[in-house]
Amino acid sequence: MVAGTVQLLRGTYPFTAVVGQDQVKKALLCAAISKEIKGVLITGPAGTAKSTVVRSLRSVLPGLSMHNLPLNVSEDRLVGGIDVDHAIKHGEKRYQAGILKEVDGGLLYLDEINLFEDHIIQRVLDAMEGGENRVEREGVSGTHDCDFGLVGTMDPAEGAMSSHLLDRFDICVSMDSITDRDRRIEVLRRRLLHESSPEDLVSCHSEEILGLMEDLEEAEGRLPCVIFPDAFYETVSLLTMEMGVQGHRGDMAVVRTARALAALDRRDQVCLDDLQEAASMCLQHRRRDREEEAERSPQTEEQNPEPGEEKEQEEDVWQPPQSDRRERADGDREDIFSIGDPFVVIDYLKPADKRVDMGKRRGKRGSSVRSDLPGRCTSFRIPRGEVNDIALVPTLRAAAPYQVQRRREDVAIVLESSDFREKVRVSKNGTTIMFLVDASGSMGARRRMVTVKGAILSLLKDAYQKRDSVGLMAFRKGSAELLLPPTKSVDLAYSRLREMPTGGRTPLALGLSKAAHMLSSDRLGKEDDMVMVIVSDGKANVPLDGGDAFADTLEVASKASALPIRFVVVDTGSGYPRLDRAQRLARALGGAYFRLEDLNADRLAHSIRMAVHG
Amino acid sequence: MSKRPVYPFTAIVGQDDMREVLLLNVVNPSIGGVLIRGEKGTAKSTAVRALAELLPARDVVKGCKFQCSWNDNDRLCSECREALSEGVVLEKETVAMRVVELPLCATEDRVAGTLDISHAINTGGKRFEPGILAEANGNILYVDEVNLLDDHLVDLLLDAAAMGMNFVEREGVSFSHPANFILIGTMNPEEGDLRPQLLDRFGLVVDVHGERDPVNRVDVVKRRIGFETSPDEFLEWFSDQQEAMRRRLEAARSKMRSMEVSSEILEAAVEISLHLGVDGHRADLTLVKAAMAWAALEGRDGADTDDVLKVARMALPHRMRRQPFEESKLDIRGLDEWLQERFSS
Repeated sequence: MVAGTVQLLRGTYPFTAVVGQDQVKKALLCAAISKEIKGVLITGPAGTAKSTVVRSLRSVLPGLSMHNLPLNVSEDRLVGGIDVDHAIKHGEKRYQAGILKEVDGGLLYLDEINLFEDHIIQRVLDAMEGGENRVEREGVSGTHDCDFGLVGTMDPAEGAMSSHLLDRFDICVSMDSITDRDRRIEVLRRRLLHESSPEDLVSCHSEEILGLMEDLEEAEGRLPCVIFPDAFYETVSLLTMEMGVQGHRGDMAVVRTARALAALDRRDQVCLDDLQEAASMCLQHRRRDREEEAERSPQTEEQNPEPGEEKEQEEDVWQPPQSDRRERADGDREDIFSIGDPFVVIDYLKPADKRVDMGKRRGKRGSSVRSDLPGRCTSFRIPRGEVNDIALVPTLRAAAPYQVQRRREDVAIVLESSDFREKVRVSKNGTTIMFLVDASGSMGARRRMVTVKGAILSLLKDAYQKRDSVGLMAFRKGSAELLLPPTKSVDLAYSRLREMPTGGRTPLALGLSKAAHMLSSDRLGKEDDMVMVIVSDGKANVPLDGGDAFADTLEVASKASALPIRFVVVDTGSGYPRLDRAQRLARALGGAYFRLEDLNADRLAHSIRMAVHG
Repeated sequence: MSKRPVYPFTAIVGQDDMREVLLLNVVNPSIGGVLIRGEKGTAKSTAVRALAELLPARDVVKGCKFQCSWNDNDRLCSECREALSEGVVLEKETVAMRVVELPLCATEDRVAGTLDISHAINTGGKRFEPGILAEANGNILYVDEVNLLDDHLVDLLLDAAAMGMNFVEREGVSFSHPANFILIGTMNPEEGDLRPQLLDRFGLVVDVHGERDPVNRVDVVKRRIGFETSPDEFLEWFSDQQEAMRRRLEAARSKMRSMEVSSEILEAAVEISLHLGVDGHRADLTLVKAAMAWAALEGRDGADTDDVLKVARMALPHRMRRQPFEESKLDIRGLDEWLQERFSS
């Protein structure tokens, strides 16, 4: 390259022309100079230049080969498989490497990484961490080294990544839109200039680009010499422990990143600022404490009830008339509460939940594997019995090595029954979630409904991300009303939720039986996984036929527990002591029990910066 | 292939908003497509198909299956790239732009393209068979009922739209080709929502309603019947108007090319986005481009704040949602007052 000029592919945006986003840029540069840093994940809403900044890396690393992994990638292309051409010509099985070989020494980029199938991401991460790709498929085995960097970008609104996959990214940083007026205008000006005359934009930034290129080269050379003071190792482990990070990946990521940061800053020794900066890049996404906590708390409460507390609870059970009176007093009142702040929901429908009856579940939430029905073909297998759904390409691949021996007359390829492979389809059978919401007067007390509506909104948002159907039923006064039959339109559910009035008594038994009936009626898709989420404090006070309201409820519940429906009870009770009604309801239903507060995944999260400073 | 007559664009009665957004995309394809929301039977599909007649011709690489753009060497299909690297001079050919439809029932391999099975069986060799994304390159990709499109197909669309390229890595084939298309979708909102990410990819959005003016309603029916009974005569009747529209669009495109981006509209676009709390930067970009296209369509040499306001009602309604699931409503009058106050001083 001639000094003083920068030549770029026309499509490449100059790295230094990206306005702001300093942390993201730094994270990418760290990964660019340090081969040790494994995986950078960038999260942010749509339209915040996530992929632009990643792709622009090429402008400052001219030697970088960046490989874009498309969403449609199949496993055989990723890891490699049988060399079909060779097999047909020579009748030999030979391994032909795939993308993981091509990307060796370069950078693999996964845009919308949260939309990839898990097994694909798993293979990529395994190869990245192990530094080699080992393949055993289609009758061939192959191994090759692969040393590559990985960058993923995702919009969290489209769905989250599981924590075990997240943990394998050394760095995770987030991007947001720029809100400063002048800087935003600058973003727009540069973007428009890039579209109309990219050369002009490049020439405006050529000095900066050349400068950065030199800096990177220098930093890369300096990195092996950067000293990480011994005393800091302890600081790092204290830091990660304090932040509730499990495992050791986080510690190592902080050390590696801190060294890269020091090298970028032209220093030979890591300082405390580097540690702090590295911690905010490497530890945010590893904080698993919140999940653990949420799982643990209801259990411990269940197992060790304080003797005094139990007594008080019994007293409360014995005193329904009192609470009844109170409700009757404001029974005529009807309020429409606004919707509280939404939050990130824990994985409350997790199949691993011990309280869920094992017999009722059908596979992982949201998808089931089958070979007989329509769905998306994800892989293939040797058929058992009759072949109906032939996987043509794998069949051809299986037949390829034998072509030399088989008698081919007019055709190019001869198939025998042993070659046949059938498709394994994954059908995205939806989960239908019916929200049964207690809208009685007791829920209006102390504006509890605002929080509850916020929680339901969060559950709706979660349902959207998992592409579930949602229905909404509310019970109050003397009746249970279907506000929304199961639909994919979460927006509709939201507007119904907003208009949902609160007030009156609590016909829990009626609501439960109606909702169960609704879900088990055959109007709904048979293949759907059914879930009923009951949001209530369990204080039933309208019996079905003149008996005890709560006893009725438990009776309906035990009947309903036989239905192929998974139940989740969200206890909205507040104050101390907490009544155990909702818990007893959950037990009768054979379902899971959560307290409202425990659904919030962020509740226990505290600011990382505070932890660093403290 | 005998060409089925297409209802002329200029014969569509009413539906001014829908016609305007479609025309803006013809003036500047980089606006990023249109989402048309509305009930059935409101001439949505008719208008999209009719648009094909008004589209400009474009220069492509002669003989290329993927119709790679002739002057865009950064975005070539694997075959053209190979030819270019071997020193072959790519020849030019002029083709008409088309409307390519993506049916809801399409399978993943037909959309992205896959291994050419018949070629593999007959010759034992690997070859890429292009899919709908290849056909759509340089054209309009039309998805009727886009909200009912399967999730994994939406993912493919998003992937291609993000890069303007379709990369296929499956079934042993590795291939890439340009997939630069104007995405036009229609939907009936009662049947379900569109994923926010896909929503954000549509540059403009327009809500259509059935014609309410009785005089116009009569006209709609009369013209439709006229077209169906004697299409040739009907087309002849509108040929002057069609020609005039083509000339207007051509003039607008050339004005657009020479138009300077003024600080005034950049500032207006950014301030509107900030004022409304729109997420991401796509809204700003769309506002500026659409405002300039509108000015060009009106025959003016430059765009101003009024043009930005004019297109704001098309570029922003679908990006308004700060809170998830809150109904997106754009208060045009409020915005107008705010703008007057902001920019009059």
